[in-house]
Amino acid sequence: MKNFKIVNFVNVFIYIFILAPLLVVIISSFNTAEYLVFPPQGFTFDWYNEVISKGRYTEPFWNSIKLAVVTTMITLPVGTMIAYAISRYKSRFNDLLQSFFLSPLVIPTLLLGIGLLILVSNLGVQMYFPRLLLAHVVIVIPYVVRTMIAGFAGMDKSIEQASIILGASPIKTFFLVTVPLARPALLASGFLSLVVSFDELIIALFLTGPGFNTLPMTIYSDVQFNLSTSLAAISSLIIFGTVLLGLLAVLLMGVNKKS
Amino acid sequence: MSELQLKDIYKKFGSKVVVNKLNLTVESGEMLCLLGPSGCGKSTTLSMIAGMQTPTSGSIILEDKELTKVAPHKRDVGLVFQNYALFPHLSVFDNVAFGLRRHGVPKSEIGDRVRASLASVRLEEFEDRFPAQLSGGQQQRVALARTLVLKPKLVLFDEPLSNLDAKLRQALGIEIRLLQKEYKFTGVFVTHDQEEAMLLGDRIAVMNGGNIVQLGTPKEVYKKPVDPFVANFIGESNLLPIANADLGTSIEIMEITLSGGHKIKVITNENNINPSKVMIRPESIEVLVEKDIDSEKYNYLTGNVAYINYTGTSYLIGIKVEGIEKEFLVRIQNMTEDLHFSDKESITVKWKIKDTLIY
Repeated sequence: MKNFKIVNFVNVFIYIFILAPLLVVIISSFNTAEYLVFPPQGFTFDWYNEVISKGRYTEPFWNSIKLAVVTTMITLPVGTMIAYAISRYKSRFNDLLQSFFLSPLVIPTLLLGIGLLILVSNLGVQMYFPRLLLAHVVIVIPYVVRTMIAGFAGMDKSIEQASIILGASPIKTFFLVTVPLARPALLASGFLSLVVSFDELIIALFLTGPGFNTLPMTIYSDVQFNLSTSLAAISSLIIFGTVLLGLLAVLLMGVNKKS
Repeated sequence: MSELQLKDIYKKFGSKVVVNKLNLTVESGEMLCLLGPSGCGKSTTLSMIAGMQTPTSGSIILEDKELTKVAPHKRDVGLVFQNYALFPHLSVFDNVAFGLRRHGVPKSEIGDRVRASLASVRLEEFEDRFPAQLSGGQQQRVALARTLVLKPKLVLFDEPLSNLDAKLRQALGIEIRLLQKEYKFTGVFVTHDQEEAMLLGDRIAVMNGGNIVQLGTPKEVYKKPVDPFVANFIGESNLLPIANADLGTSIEIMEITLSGGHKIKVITNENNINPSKVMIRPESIEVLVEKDIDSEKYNYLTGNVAYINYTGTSYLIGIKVEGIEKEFLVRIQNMTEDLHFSDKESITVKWKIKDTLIY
């Protein structure tokens, strides 16, 4: 019983640790003061109004959204295929392949940023969007591959076999059986892919230049040079958006369970 | 005409030989059971027939057509899985319709065929349910309907009853036999359960170490097991080591001394004049009630009662016989009177000389 209490205490502590910064940001966003201070001095929606109507964040926001969506449109099918190959086809290179596709997770982002900068410069990719897209695909792929491998591992292979025996070609089986069964993993992968790409800052700093900003870049520069309360407002909006997206993913997963 | 032929099937995983030069012919409309302990190669054999695995060498022929190189989705073979393997995201109706749709059956026909098939497994009212809403037995019946709706020539069963409880297992086993009469398919049924094999098989192929050790009707395999392995695997058996075998006074009868010095008689087998073991089925043994010794017809053995198990339909008596390591088993059908034996009490049993098998 004593252990149980300690575990509970630690749990509560962890939750506070994770949630406190978010709460501070959200509470600050309603502050009347012009600069980020805590505790707040009054209550207002003005900063939200400013963020939305003044348009300082509009273009970076849409840049980040476009980037996250296109990245996900690439990483989800590609990562799923990689994960399927690794989990269904036995080869002695399996472990090697898996480590290779997960490696961007463990390589320091700084190194990755420098490497990618040299690569895209040599390839002659001048435009910032395709540069970043390429980089984001590399960064996000491990999340998709890992999630999908876990999804495929938990799937009963005999269900796919049954489909083949009943006359469905392997490709038909993949789309008619494997994909529907992998739906929770696909949703989780898509969610991760969107969020990781949307949040990414360091690589964007390396690969882009004047005239192209992602939302994290704009926020980062504002933190350095313009510590206005509107920062808390835009940050809160990101938090709300992410939570909504997450809830949507969980809701869609839940529908799958018919038991 | 023979339906399914396996010729010299050989399968290696790495350096391990799993199926070793297996030859088997399954007749049209027959149900053949592949029976054996785990690791004997029965499941691998089945999955090679289904096309899930490719034999290292050898060929599989179905109705005079070479099947070995045909892709599994083009084989016209049905497979019923141990864990049902229903599509959890599809309704019962769509599960059964799945194969029909893949085979391009016209829409107008699909509804009728699915319903007819569900009716034959008595699940016509369940077509809108999802697999997770059904019991294990119902799920396996959906799996049967899903397979049989395609009217395959050959249906493979991969331990389909193993996940069900004993009563249901028997009921569904009988149902499978009836469905076979109705749909007239050829069946190969893999199981490690000898009762299931007896219940379902027209013939049983007992497998061990990657090959068939005995092939025959359930009766043949039970009455005349070819070796101690089969005897032990199918039903209960008493296997006793022989200390000395003597051709004795008559040509037909051999006199045998068991370890412990017990003398018994067996019918001489010209092919085995130097046997090392005798086998007696526990149910061919009786308890000697009166002292009516007839040593021309019977063998006798005396020992002490080690235990009596009452199973409702029968008694299983374990007898400790001097010089014999394992308890000698006797199974007696339940009688109107109770058996009265106390532990350690001396008991004499008898069995017919012709019921004594030698190896």
